[in-house]
Amino acid sequence: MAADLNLEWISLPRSWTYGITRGGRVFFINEEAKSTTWLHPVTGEAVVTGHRRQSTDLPTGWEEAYTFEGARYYIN
Amino acid sequence: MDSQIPYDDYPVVFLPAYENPPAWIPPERVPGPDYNNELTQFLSQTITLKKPPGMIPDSDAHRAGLQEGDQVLAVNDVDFQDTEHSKALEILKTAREISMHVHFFPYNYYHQKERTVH
Repeated sequence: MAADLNLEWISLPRSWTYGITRGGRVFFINEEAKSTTWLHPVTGEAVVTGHRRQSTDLPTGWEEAYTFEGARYYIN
Repeated sequence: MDSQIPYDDYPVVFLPAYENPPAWIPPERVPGPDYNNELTQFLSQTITLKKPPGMIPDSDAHRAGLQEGDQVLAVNDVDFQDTEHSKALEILKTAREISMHVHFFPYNYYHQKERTVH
């Protein structure tokens, strides 16, 4: 299932940890640099969460979603 | 010479703004909405509902573990992510037993809720 949470990203380098926002998006926390990012510190890719995704068409880390007006947009 | 593009005829579409990840806060933080790393509630699960005559769907779904914000990925092996709403409803209404694969992802749910409240 494309939207299943793939847990490969959970292994992180030293001084890094992760969090999950209220909306369910995964982000990464660098305790040394005191910063956060959507991108995994090793792979450099965002964690695919639950937005609708066409896995065969989109590059890795991109997701497709729709506004409530029906416009398609992409999330990196 | 009419060189002006009739922009007034174009539909207005509002795209979501880019969202930054939550700002860093000290490690002594108490887990909260934006600093939750408890994964289990975000993993997908399969919920089975039986529909004997007279059952109230809402209470049945609630007892089975469904919650607001659950994204329905598949029902009875039909991929709901690419299914039209009308067909999805038909499947849910006609199936005697529903095996529902769901994933808690309230992102769009919260956005929609905010829109509705306005």
